[in-house]
Amino acid sequence: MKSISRRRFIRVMGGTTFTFATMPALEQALSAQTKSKGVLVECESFDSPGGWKRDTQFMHQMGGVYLLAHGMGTPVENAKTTVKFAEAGTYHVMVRDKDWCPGDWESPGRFKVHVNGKPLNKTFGASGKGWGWSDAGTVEVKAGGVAIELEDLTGFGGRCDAIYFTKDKGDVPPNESIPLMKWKDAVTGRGPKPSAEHDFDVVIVGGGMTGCGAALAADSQGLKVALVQDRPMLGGNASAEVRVHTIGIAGKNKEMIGRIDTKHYPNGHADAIKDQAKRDKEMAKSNVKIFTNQTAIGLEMDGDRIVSVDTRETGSGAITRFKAPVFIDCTGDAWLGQWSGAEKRYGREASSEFDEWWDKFGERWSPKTPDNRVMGTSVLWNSEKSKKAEPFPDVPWAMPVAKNHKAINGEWYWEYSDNELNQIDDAERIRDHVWRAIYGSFSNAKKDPKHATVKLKWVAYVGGKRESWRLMGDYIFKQSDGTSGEKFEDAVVEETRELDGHYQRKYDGLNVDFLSKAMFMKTPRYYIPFRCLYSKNIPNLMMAGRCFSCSHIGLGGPRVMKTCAQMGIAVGYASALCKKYKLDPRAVGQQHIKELQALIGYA
Amino acid sequence: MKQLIRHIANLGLLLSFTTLAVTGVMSFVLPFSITTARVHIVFGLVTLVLVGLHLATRLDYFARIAKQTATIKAKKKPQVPRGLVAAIVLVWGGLLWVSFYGTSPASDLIDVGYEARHKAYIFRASPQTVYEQIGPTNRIATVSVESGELVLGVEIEYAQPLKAQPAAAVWAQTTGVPGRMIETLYVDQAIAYSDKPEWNGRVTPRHHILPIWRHQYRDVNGIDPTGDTDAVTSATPKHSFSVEQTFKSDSDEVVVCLEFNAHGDANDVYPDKHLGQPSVLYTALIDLTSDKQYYLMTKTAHGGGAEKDGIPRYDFEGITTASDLVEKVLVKVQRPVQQAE
Repeated sequence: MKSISRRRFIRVMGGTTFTFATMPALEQALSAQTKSKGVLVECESFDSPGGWKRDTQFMHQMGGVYLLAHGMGTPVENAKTTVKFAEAGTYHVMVRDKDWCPGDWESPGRFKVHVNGKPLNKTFGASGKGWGWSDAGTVEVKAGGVAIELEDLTGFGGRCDAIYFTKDKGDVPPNESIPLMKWKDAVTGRGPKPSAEHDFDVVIVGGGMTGCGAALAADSQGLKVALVQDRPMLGGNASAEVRVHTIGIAGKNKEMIGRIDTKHYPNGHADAIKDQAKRDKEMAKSNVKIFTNQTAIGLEMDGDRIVSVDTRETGSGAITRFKAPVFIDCTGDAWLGQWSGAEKRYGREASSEFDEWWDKFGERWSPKTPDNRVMGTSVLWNSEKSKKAEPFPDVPWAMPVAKNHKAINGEWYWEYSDNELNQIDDAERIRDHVWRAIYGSFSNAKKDPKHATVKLKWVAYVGGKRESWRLMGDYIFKQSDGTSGEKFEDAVVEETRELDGHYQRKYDGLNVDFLSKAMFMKTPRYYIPFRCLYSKNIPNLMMAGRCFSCSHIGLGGPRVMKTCAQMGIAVGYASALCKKYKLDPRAVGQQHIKELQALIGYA
Repeated sequence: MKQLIRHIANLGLLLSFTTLAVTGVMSFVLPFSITTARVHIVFGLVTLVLVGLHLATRLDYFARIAKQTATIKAKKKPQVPRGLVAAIVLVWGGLLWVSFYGTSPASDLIDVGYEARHKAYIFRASPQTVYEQIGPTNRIATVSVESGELVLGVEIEYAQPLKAQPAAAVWAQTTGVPGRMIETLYVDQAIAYSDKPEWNGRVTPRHHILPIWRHQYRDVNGIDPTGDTDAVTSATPKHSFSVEQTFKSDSDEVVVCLEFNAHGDANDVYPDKHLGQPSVLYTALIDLTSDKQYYLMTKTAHGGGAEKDGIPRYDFEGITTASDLVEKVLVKVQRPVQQAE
């Protein structure tokens, strides 16, 4: 047992880590908050969200889970809740909102707040600025239940994080995400302490294809498995929320991957819902303990080892602690690795670092000096025909992005990335940028009478990311590993798919910046060694999926979901051997690789 | 022989001139009718021949007038008063002048004619508009407007040879749904001159034949199909298509529309033997900033039930042969070649 003094609790809010030497210190820090004089209504806890969506994607950046009026141009049904007020009186009302597309037009995300059936005078979502508290004047409130409603005015992405009623006009809540989250915990009285703690043999954070594969594999070996997912459903990019079809090969695990994959429908197709049902059913049949709607917010370290991971329930804000001897980071964005201090990379390496130059595409493929360009986030969408004219509102706010582009359906190449943008820190902006592209392009297409009957059927509000942080293992998978087809002694994953990287077509001179192009480099069957699937410097952390140990170019092929699921299965089985031999992943790779390969199917 | 010619001329002129006069009055007070025009032209020619015959029998008379010129010179009293000859020539010249330049009283007379009284309803194609039916089977019809190097043409290729061309209108409108008519390029002659033309033997309201075009046409002539003046729209005084105007549109795009309606194509859903199935609308969005020359029109809507509101109907259920009448419609846009600066 290591000394308690080496323990660190790391909570992450607003994308920034802050560390306390011990948990009591954290409690002390938070208990020092000014006692609230008011009533805080967090929108994620509304009794009925109506047509509003609970958007959890950007909690770390903007300090909360917000309700999103995602009506694709048609105002959504009101969100409703009733809040108990202990004291009657005159309350100042503040609404935390965002004008997500300010400019020389009527803001697209406008909404009203009703208190006891009466709308407040102010229109929200039109502040001309980002997330912040908008002063909505005063209301007279009687003690008891007070009905609150959000009324969407546009159907175009109105968003509300919280409503605060206070009798003291000077009681202005913080806006920066870290103080804000602390303040919310204090005001609501839920505090920073976990309301529940669980012990598992392995904790898998991230419930996409990778996490599901890892969970099924670990479960098949009798481990007590926790699978933590920040969305209400499993599947990640393959889920009914994002709807990317799964590609790549299933390697030695066709049966297991077949339980969670998708058919090859057009990206964005509603058949993703059927595959979601299949995945949910198959995962429910396992003994995996599934925790959906739980966003990881921090972890506890003991020296260089992870002791526990904390999550926050996206509705109530309640914190749960997960303990295990080994953790698997399947978050895609490498959250556990980032917080634990694992060695990591972002962006494109210089082509010289791993000899990854390709004459055909030059710097579009790999730059001469490192940069922050990565493959982008896709927002899928589609439309359908009805039997009558379907009007679509004017969207002047979308036109600076869409320009004269016309489209009635999207595909994977509706993808946005920029050297100046970070796929995690700027994720909301990236999603919104593609929305402007979609709505503007659709509006342009609707000018043609032949599209008079076309209406938007589905537009994702959850972005499908391809690339962000990559965690470094004992080996970095790179271009030459794909093109050589070297069968490593510790190979645990195989793939035949080309290495393909994306770049924004604006670099080819296209006048819009939201469409991408793929570059395919042919490869033989290639293999990924187990050394790419555990952290170089965090002994009990494994990683799988798009945050595995690779170069930017190396990620190009194996990033697709069946390959990621293979990686998940490999680390799932490895966690079983960690338990069996009481070893860390590296030692399993060094001492029991044949057994691991046999479990995977390479015997 | 001379007597026989005289009888033919006199009796023939009586009948043919009466016919000419009646059809002339009809042309003046009634909507343009190709039948009336045909009769008028034929009997105009007959009358011309008969007048020639009549004059041939009166050669002596003209010879005497010619001789009279000599007697004037000889200071003898003329047989036809000089003043009368001069007056006749003056009146003829005056009438020619006022009718040629359209001044009163010729203009007053024209103002009480049908054309003047119904000019808002009448579509008269630009002189640059050419309508052609191509091939012995009339499978292809083209409408094109040329203005210098600018050409906007629509080529309609029917799926099968047709006995009779459907009623058709071609127009340009602004983008969006609903768009606003910029101008009409072409309207079938049979229905171009009246809101209640005789169409295939029956007086039929134009908004029953091509309801979408007719309601859109209100944007140009300011008059509802019911005859009410539309105070909202501002009518354009001339009803000929201006290809230059379209190309100089504030927008970068225009929509070219074709609406057609075949006569008597009744089916179970649309059993009216005269009107049959409703009109069908084809559209193409034209990018005025592009160098693209050809655009394929898309079957977009139909006019069934649109008689009152002109709103295109998009559900083609119940439309059978009318929906398949056209094989393809091609819009050709030819622009002047830009000189490099």
